[in-house]
This record gives sequence, C-alpha cells and structure tokens, in this order.
Amino acid sequence: MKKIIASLIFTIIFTTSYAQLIPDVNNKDKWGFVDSLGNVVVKHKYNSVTPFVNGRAKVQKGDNYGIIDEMGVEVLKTSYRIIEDYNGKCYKVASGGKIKDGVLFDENWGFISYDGEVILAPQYSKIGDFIDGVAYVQSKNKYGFITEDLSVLVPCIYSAVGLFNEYGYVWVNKGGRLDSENSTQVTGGKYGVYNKRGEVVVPVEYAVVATFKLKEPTQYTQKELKKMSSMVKRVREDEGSYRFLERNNEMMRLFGKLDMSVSYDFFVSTRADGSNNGVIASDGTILVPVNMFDAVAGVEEGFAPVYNSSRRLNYWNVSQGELLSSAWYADGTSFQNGLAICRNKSGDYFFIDQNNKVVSPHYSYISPMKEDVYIVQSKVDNKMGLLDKYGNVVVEPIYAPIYPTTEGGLFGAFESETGLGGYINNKGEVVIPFRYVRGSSFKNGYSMVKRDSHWGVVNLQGQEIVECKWDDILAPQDTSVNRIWVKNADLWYCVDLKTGTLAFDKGYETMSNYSRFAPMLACVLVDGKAGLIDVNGDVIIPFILDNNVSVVKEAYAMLMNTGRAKWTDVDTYRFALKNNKNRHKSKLYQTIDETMWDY
Amino acid sequence: MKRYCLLLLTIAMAAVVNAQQLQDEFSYRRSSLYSILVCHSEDKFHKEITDEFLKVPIPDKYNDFDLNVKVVNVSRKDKYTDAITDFVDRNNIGSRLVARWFNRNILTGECDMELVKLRGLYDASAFDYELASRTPRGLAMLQDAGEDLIANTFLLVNEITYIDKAEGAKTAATVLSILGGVVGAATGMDYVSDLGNTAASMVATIKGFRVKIHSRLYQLDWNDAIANEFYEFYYSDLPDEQKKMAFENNRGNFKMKYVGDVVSKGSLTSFLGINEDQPELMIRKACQRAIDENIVDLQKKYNQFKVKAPVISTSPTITAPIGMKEGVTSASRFEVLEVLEKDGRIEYKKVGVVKPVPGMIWDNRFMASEEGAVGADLGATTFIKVSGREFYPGMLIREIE
Repeated sequence: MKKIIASLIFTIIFTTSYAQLIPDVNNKDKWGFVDSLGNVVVKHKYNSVTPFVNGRAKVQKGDNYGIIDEMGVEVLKTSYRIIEDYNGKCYKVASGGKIKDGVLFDENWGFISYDGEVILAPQYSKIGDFIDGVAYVQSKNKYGFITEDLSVLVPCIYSAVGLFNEYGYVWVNKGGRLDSENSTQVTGGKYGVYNKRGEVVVPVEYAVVATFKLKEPTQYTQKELKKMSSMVKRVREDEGSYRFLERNNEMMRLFGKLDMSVSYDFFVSTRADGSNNGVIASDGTILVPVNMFDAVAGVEEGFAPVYNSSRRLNYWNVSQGELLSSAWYADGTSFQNGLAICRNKSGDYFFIDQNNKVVSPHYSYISPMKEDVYIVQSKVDNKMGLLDKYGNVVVEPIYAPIYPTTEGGLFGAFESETGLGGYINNKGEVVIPFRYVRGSSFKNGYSMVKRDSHWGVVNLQGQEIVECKWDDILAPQDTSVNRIWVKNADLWYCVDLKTGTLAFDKGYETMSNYSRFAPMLACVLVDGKAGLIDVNGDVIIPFILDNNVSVVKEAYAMLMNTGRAKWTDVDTYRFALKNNKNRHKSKLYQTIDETMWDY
Repeated sequence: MKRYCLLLLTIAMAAVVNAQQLQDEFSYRRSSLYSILVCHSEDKFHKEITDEFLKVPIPDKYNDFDLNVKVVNVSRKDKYTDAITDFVDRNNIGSRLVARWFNRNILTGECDMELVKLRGLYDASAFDYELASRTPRGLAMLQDAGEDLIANTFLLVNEITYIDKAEGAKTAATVLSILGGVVGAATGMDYVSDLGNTAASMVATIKGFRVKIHSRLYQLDWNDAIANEFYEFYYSDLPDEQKKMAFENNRGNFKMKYVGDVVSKGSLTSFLGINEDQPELMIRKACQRAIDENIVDLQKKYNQFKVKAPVISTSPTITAPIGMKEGVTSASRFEVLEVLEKDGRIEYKKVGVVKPVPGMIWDNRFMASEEGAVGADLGATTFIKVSGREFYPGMLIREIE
C-alpha cells in the first residue's frame, strides 16, 4: 500500500514537469527509477532518491550520497556525506567525518562539477555562503576566503577573520585566539587588512587595526557646567560634535565588519592599547607612521591632528611628511573647508588655515559647525555672532546669546538691548521677529515661545499657530500626536497643533503627556482619580483608578488584552477593586464597606 | 423527548471542531463556587498562607464564582461557625452571588442574562427569543436555569490554621515571637511581629509544615419565589434608579444556607519535587491538597455539592478527566448520566454505572507530576462498565454512594 501511495504521489507531482523518469520503491524498500510505462530504468538499489532535476538525481546508499544521470550512471560516487543542491555551477559536498547520534562531525567540504569533476577537493571544515562573490573557509581552526570561481582569495592561515565590508575590505588576525567564554571575541595576535583583490593593504603586523568614527559630543562635567554662564551653558547643551576623527573602539569579533562609513583610512598601532598609532590609507599608503606621536586622529583634507606626550596638538601634513606648526596648541579640530578650530593655553578659540595662519580674531568660544555656520562669542563683551564655514563674518557678535535649534535651520537669538528673542537663519536674516522672552528649540516644525507672560507656539514661518495666551505649556512627548497641553488658571487644556484651537473643551486639573503611559493616550486626573483619554478627549478608561503609574499601565495592558476599544465605568471599577491593597484585610466581625465589593 | 447531546451542542457552538478540541473543551453544566479564606493572623506564616491561598484556583469541575473579597482575618483560635454564618449574612453575600449571575452593574443596577446563557449552554438567540416572547418554553428555560445553575451556587469558607511542629497542638496565640515581637493580646494589636518569618526560618520550619483546614459549605437559597421576586422588583436591563435602590435595600432577602463542614486531617504533605528555594510552593501544596481533600469529603457528605465530569472517550476504553483530586479510588462508583433537554429543561437520566480500573486512576492532585506520583501522567481515569447500555462521549458521570 505504501508503495502504491508513494508512486502515486510522485506521479501526480512530477508527471507534468518530468515525464521521463519516476522514483519508484520495490517491496524491499529499495528505490530506483521507472519510466512512465513502469519499466525499470535505474535499478532499485538505493535507500532513498530525489526526483531528477536538470538530468541529475541524488541517491543514497547507507550513510552516503551520490548523483546519477538518467542512465543511472553515478556521476558522483555514493561516497559523500552531504551533497547540497546544484547551484547552477557546481555541487557543494562534504566527505569523511563520522556520524554520532545522527550528527555528522569532522567532515570536509569542497565542490564538484555537474559532471563529477573535482573543482575544489573537500578540505575545509566549513565553507560559508558566498556573499558578493566571496565566502570564508575554515580548516583546522584557521580561516581564509575563496572566490566564487573557487580560487583562493585570502589564504586559510588566519586565527580569525572578519567579513568583507561593502567597500571590499576585511581584517585578518594571525596568532590571536577566540575568547573561550565569548567565542566570537578575538584577543592577541597581529592584525592586517586585505582588499577584494586579495592584496594586503595593511600588513599583518599590528597589535591594533581599527577604523575611524566621528567624535561624540563633548560631555561636560558638572564642575565645568557650573563655571559657565547660563548663556554659554545653553549653547553648550546643544552644541553637537566638533569635526574630529577618532578611533572606532569596537572590539574585533569573528566575522565582524570594518566600519568605513566615515573614513577609508585605517588606524594602526603596534601596541595593544592603541597608543602611538599611525594611519594607513586603503590603498596601503602610510599616511602617518606609527610610533611618531602619542596619538594620531583621522586624516582630513590632507592633515591629521596629532598629539605629543604633553597632550598638545599639532597637524601632520601628509603630503609634505612634516608638522604644520612649530608650536603646539592646547587642542583643536580636524580641518574642514580649509580651516581648523584651535584653542591656545589661555583658552582662546580661533581659526587657522592650512598654512598655519591665524585667520580670525580670538574668541572666547567657537561652536561646532551647524547649518554651515559657526557660533562665536566675543572676548570683549561675550556677545555672540555667526561666521560662515570659510570663517567670514555673517553676523557680528551682537546677540546674547545665539543657540542652535534642533531643526529648521534656525538659530534662536536674543537682543542684548531689549532682552527679547527671535530666530535668525544662517545668513543672519531675522525669520521670526524679536518679541519673545523665552523660546524652545524647534521640534516637528514648531517651538514653544513666551510673549510677555504667556505661552504659545510658533511654526518655522513665524506664525503663532497657538496664540500666546496660556499660563503654562508642556512640550509634547509624542510628536506624531499633534496635541499640546496648555494651562489656563488651574486647568490644562489640549490644543490641536494643526488648527491652533482646542481639541476638546474639557480641562483637567492634572494630566500627563500623550503616549507617556500608553500609546496615543493621555492620563488625566479628575477628583484625584486617574483615567485615560484619546486625542479627541474621548474617555477610554474612566476616572476611577488610583493615581498610580503602575496601576494605570496595568489597566491599559488589561484593556489591550481583552481586545476592547474602551472600558465602561463598571469595568474600571472592578479592575480598581482587584488592585485595592485593602481588599484582603477585612476582619471576620466586620461589615465590609460596599466600596470593596464588585457585585 | 428530544435528545440533547452535549457533544453535538459543542459542535454547534464551535466554529471548527476536531478530536483534540472535543477532548479539551467538553462543555457541561457545572456548579459554581466562591472560595474564601479565614486567615489566622496570629499564626506564623499567615501572610504566606494568604498569598498561596490566593493562587489556588477554583477546581476545574466548578465554575469560578469568586467575588472581590477572598480573605477575612481573625486573630485568635475559637469556634467560628456561627461567626462565619453571621459574616455571610451581614455582608449580604447571597445577594452578591445573585448579582453576579445577572452581571449586575453595581454602579447603575443594569442586569443581563449573558452569563446564564453561557453557563447554561443555551442557544443564545433561541433563549432571547423564547424569553422575549414569553413562551412556556422560555419560562421553562428560566426555571431550568434557576434549578440547575443558580441554585447550584456554593460558598466555601476555609479556615486555615498553621500547626507549628515545635508546639504540637498548642495554639499559636500563646507563642511569643522569639525575635522580640509583641503578642497581639498584650497590646491589642491584631498582628504579631513577622520578624520570625525570614526565608531561612521558613525553610527550616517548612519541612514539618502542616495546616489544618476547617471548611464550611454554604449554598445559595434560590427557588421560584425568590427568582420571581428578583425578576419582578430588581432585574432591569436598562439603568433604573428605583430598581437599583430597591435591590440595595433588600439584599438581605437573598440568603446563603449553611450546608455543613469538614475538617482536614492536618497530615504531612510530601514535598518531593519542590526545591528548598521555593518554600512558598510547599505552603501552596499543603494548603491546596488539604482544600481539595475537604472538597471531596464535602461532596461525599452532601449530594448537592457533587460534581459531574464528562466522558471523553468510550472506545477503546471509557475515560473521564477526573481523578484522585476529586477523591476517585478503586472503591468509587459512578453513575453515567445522559443529558436530555425537554421543553427547555435539562434532565439527567441515569443510563449505567462504571467503576475505575485499578492502576488507571489519574493522579491529578496539585504537583503530583513533580512528586513523581504514580498515575500523574495519565491525563484521565479509565473506567469499566458495571451496568447499563452503550455510552458515548459527552455523557456525564457522577459519584454515587
């Protein structure tokens, strides 16, 4: 019966696609092939077979597999442990090894052609998938790479390797080891880099090879912040990052990729801690030799910031192979548009060009570039102005202060005479007039501003989309909600940011922002009891819950679990009862208060 | 007489049915149970006992009919039967269970019949139609719901006392906390210090952990007269302030009848399969096993409290998902009931008797598997026919004397 069913299934499935040969099993559970008339074409001698595809079928004898053609000739002898599907060019095969508890160990992999010719003899314990024409190979705990035409790209002699990144580079390690606890982390040994032509671009002789990344925004200490004036502190909070390429400190992990998104150069060092590093370009050119400076940053515009043992900064001119200046600065940035920001030991900021000429006045502060301009602060009266990316004055230092907004390309600025604020662009043009005593950064296209003693909201065009008539205002947490809470006397109201009008009439004594506890919902208090409302003010969970964050969150979670859109009063009442800590504290002789009962 | 086959009803009510679903989801009418703990706050581990009691589910042979209040406290040893009955009456528990049957909104007084329809396994739209049309069949369905469902609503009050192995039978109220806590009687406080109940002291003590449970059973008093009063004066499917207030003012008309009590033996529970770092599981096991045993004893004593279980297969053997937890032994005998529906009323017709096959009794007591108990992995008890005609899955069995 089993034989009939099996044959029938194969007949139904494969009649339309391959009419010639059909897998067939005999009464001894041996498989072969028959034609459509039932004549045996391939003798029943196999434990299993697969149907013919492109003139080839896989057959099994014992624990081994082979490939036969339509005449039954074993193109690949049944001596392989595993034969993967034909990939259009060849078969990936495994041979040798031993099978224990149904699992194959210690096999070797290679490739055989369609006609059974050995292209790559089974010799690798692992062959990875081909990605962009390259696959890693492993043999006896050593790694290398082969190409799709199965030639050796990187010899299989390395203790660990990464994977080729999108730029065509891969790191290798010789003599290191994989951390036994975390088997992908590499320690020790020497690193180098190959390109996709199989060329060594960084010799395998460095204790550290890394890429570069942009320096993170400065984290000022509390001590430093306390020393700043409120004006400067406000600017520093949003200043962003100075242009500077520092070492990318990611640990080398097996099959990790080099991140060259910021720079195509390599950080190299012969010391395990990465000190006294040098820089090598992706074509193998040594840009800055190792052991010349205490530390070397990434090269930009042909110059690399370098530090000496006193932590003073200079610039290495890569093409000239010499230092830019005879004097060393306290600190500085990379070159950008031909200029670098430097700071001397007196704390003055200034620009230098690539001839080491000081091309700007000394300032008490120069910010990182934003919107193609720098904010500068005068040493004379601490007022602020703007310089363009070439160091030309866009706005003289007349404002107190200027601070960058988070979006919209605008800068908040305050007139020193009136103390009123407005917004200017990077050309110094006044976009939003100076009439506000306070303002926030722009977010999602609007900013909260205070005129006289009332709050409102302006858009990037300077229109007051919410009139400045509110006693208080709360910055939205979820900008997709288009709602903002504003206060009048004792109650908070919800305003629709698109229309500038109230989203709903009801005011609340206390509320939380939309999406703070539940997506698109706000928690509000009425008579000291909490509930949830949606963006239209509709009550989703009535105001019966205790004023407790975890209770509100739990109620919301339970509502979601029930799949209902909202709760009724009694649903909420019963939930609140279940969370009442006193419900199990009653005494036997007591008449329990009605408020403890759910029915 | 129309044959009312629960098996077919299950098929009708489910969108897609397969054999496994039938085995898992046999629908039949169950009695309803509300379970309360009387906690002795003067006892060691009273907090842990309360916590673990709250985790004990209503046995699956009953509908869960718990109300919000599950624990009441006492602070000394005494005979509490009258006090418990008085508590039940004073707090109008009967009215609350009635309110639960009709899903009464405590804020507005609105009621509905959804739970009655669900638990009674009625065809929902047929029920609504018959009722709305006030047909004799509709009236019969309502009476049937009253007799077979609402009247089979029970309250089980479990008074749990911890038996301190160090003190033997002495009451814990006379034991001073050795860590400086003050006895409640001396200061008027209700609770002694918990300082003795550290995890270490608990584990050290737990190996002799025993509880004595005195279970008292009450049944909701529900008959035609009471039902009529409810439907006429208090039931409303729309907000009705007058009916709401009328019910609130007349809660005392709905009473619980005292049925009887049993006291557990207070024997030692095996803690096989429980790690020492889970002392709370030991407490749970001791409590749950004792409660289950008390329920079995109550069922034996009081017929109205007996449970039914569905026959889930008859070929090749008769099996039912009932076992040692329900007190099944090799000496048990069960009547086999065919469920029939006539003119809107459910009747149970005895069609035979079965008895358990020795060695094939399912040990479904709490943590039987972890204990490695024999029969824990059976999943159901196997029975053989003693007398009667052909049985089919969906029939019910109920233990007989």
